[in-house]
Amino acid sequence: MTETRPTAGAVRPAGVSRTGQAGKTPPVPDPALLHAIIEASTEGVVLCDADGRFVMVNSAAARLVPELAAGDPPAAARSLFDRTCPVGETRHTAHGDRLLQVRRERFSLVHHAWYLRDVTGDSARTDALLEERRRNEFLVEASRRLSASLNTRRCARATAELAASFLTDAAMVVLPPTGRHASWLRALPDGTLQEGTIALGDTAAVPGLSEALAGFPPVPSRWLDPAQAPAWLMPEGFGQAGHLLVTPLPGNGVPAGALVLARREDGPAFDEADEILVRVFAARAGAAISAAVLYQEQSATNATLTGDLLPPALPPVPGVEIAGSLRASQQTGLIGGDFYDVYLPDAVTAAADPGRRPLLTLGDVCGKGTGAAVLAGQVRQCLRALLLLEGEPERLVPLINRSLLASPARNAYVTLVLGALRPEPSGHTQVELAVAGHPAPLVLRADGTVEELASYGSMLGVLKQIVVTIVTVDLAPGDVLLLYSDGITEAFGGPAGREMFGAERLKAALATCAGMPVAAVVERLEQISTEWLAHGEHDDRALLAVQAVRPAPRARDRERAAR
Amino acid sequence: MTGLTVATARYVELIGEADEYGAIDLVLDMIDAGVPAERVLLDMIAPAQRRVGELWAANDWSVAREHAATAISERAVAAVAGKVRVPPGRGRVTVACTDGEYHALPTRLLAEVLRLRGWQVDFLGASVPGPHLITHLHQRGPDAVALSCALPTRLPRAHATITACQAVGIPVLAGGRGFGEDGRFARLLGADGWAPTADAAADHLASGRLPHFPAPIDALAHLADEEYTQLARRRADLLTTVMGTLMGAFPPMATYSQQQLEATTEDLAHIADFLAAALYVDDTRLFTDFVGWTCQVLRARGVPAASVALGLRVFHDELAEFPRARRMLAAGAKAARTADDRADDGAGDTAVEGAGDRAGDRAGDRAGASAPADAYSETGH
Amino acid sequence: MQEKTQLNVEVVPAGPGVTRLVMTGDLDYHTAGDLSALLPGLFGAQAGQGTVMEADLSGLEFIDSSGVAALIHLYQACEQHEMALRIVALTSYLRHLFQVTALDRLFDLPTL
Repeated sequence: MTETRPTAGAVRPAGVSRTGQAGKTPPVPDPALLHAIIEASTEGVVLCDADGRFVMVNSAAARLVPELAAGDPPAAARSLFDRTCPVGETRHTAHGDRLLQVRRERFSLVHHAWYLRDVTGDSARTDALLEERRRNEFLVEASRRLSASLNTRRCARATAELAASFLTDAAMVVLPPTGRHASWLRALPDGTLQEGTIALGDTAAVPGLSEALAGFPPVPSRWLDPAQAPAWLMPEGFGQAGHLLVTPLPGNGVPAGALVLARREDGPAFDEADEILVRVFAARAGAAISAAVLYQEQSATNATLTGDLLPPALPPVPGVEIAGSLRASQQTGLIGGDFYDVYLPDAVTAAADPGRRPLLTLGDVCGKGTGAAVLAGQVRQCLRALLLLEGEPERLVPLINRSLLASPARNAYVTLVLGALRPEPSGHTQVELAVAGHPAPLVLRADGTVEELASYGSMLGVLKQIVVTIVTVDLAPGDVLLLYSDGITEAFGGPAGREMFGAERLKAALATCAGMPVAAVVERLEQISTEWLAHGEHDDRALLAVQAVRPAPRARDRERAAR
Repeated sequence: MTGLTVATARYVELIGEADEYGAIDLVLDMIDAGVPAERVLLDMIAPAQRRVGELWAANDWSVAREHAATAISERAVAAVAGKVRVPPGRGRVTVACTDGEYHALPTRLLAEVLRLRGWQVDFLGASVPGPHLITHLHQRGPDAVALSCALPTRLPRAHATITACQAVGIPVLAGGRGFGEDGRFARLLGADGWAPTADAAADHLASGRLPHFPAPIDALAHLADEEYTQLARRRADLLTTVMGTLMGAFPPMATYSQQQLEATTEDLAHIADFLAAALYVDDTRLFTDFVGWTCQVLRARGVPAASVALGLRVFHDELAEFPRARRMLAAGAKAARTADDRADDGAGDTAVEGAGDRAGDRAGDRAGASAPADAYSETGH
Repeated sequence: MQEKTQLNVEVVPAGPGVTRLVMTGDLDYHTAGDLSALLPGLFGAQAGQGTVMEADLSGLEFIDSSGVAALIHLYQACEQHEMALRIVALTSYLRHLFQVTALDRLFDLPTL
């Protein structure tokens, strides 16, 4: 650019005297040459004198700023030629529908020139690029957040929040209706989150919403009349929506709800690019929500199916406190082949047989995981049914055995302990136990002595003829009877690795629990066992402990018990 | 407040006598007298439980008595929860203890405080395996997880849990002494928030400071030396070797009973676990605090800190290729010596005999699995 | 971490009409299937009235309920093929386990 700079003297002879070194310098180019040089520039060049009057204007400049043809800077172009603008600095100034890049250079005390370039196209490309990048970043972030959860509410929340942060002034997700209602979540750009439900009938009031919920393709925003939107659609204080966009959330073949976006009256309308972006976003959100809906439905079904296989809540039994703990072998599953249960006689049985005692059981079916859990659930259920007819452990065990032998399941082998509880007014409780192929129960006396009950009996489900011995133990107040599964004693671990926990360690651990309430005994033993395993692989582990207690002494406790 | 202080002292007596009904009546009477349920939980039951920890550490209470008292406090909390119902008006929070963490009571208190403040709370209880927690999060979709870690040895698992919760897009509020008294490990492990107490946690959740969606965090650069990984992998072998060396260095161990030997192995296992945790978070103070506390607990049982220093030295010699671990062990040994100097001002027992006495003492009250490390969090360390 | 458990079953001819199974390793949830899978191939020419299946269990380091189930299947399969199952050697732990579950009445255990 410097080559095209005219010397000051060449333009206006008045300046020559100031620079007057004509004798030494090469001949000054005449104005025609200078004009030709300036004219050759593709940049617009405007040469001015000290007063800002235009001395020379090339045609590129005249094309960019047609007003220049008139001579002195017209008012409309004055902002372009702002003389306070520092020399050498580049500015961008809008002129008409063009964006011009303007630079001023000084050539002497009197002359300066403006260089103009049209950057309208560059800038539009940059804006478009930036916008594209912003949209991509938004979609990447959306994918990250939407793929995180398998929970319907979390996915809906992420959808609403993402939309509010990027697309709109208020974003509402209406989830697929369940029954005659639909849940909704609404997010605002300031982070506010609101939730609620609407009656299915009310969705008809929102232009386009019923159609979107039914999975019809979206209609352009300009077809929707925001004035028709009911007041409940907008957050309080939002005012009338100026622009509305209702988009279905297409799930995996099933509509996953709808996305309602609202912009304020003074905000921009949803243009075509917005609508395309929202549609892409809605497709991702819809896929996430429908996966979540599917997962929720399946896990609800699962929960219903496995509910009976989980350890039961233990009912209060007069005269004793009972606590249990069950840890399934598979970390992700809550169910396994170990089980326990406590049964109280139902009203009819109790009336017919006043001597009927509460019964408890702990057992272990062969194997692990879901298959074992199903069999364990069957044994518990079978026992519940048998109890309607029979209450004596000695006769119940052979009945369970017959039931198992008749079972079509392979490996329907079970070991268990069955105990009938008879609390006495003295605070003692007599427990009559049948042990069928199961590790012998332990008794912790109040003084810390631990006894192993002598017992012998067949594993069930193997032989038609079985042997079962019955032992009776007398629990004084504070004494604890502990039933456990072999997962406890056969746990491999310990500080030095692969060592079996063993019955002796269990007895020693139990001895340290003297004087504790039964819930603390079970928790402590479970903790010791877990620490022994130190995260190694393990079998199902079950503990059930019964403690004889004196009857509650105070009025307040009876009141509490009644609640 | 004085009324509550008196009541707390009475409450500690009652739970110390295993008088469940008395303790529960006292708690319910306070509520009937107009004391807010949250104050009963936090200004009565919580300080009483801290006192229980101190009484155990000072060897005034046996392990059994401590557990019995805690079990009663669990029921007292349940009684308060049953008495005061608050309709949920806020969001949904899941409250859980880290996998392997059995200190459920402080976490239970938090769950109840949140319920009292109108949150919908899912309390998952003690030792929640990571996969269970994640399944729960997918099913329930809470706004946040309040994760408790009372013991620093669970920090690596807490880290895995925090990361997993964040991966499913749910922010984690960390709490419990395991994260450091100033919450520094919570920050290090990328928790989205930290609160020192149950009411501070409730305030934090209410303030809306947790991010709606957690940002992914960077890996812990100091783990690149693999000292933690190697130590965790070689734990069993290391303990066997250290035990063997210790037996050579300390002849009286030859006469130890099986139980005494197991108690000693457990003590060594605690050292290894705290060392591993300190390596994981690269924090020497975590280790020296543990050593100081262990010395204090053992001193209450008539055992000098030199026995701990002896164990630390064996670890130090054994871990030749673990420079970071060796620095921590050296600092630990120094902490043990300092503790011993202080003790020597009072009583003057000798180190070597003390170690023998100590194992006997441990076997005597049969502290069982990890009693000391277990109570570590409850006595303010 | 615990190494993956393994079961080895060796089939050794032990005289006319006698097949001997020597089991070593762990017979548990993970390996019980290996033993069951072996069963169909065991009853070849050797099976039939008067033949004997011997099991040497002295090398079993661990057994769980699935392992016990696999032994019961072995017993039942022998019964089907009119073979007698005789346990010729076992660990004291296994003997204890068979006693607790009363399977000592099913299996022919060596006398002490």
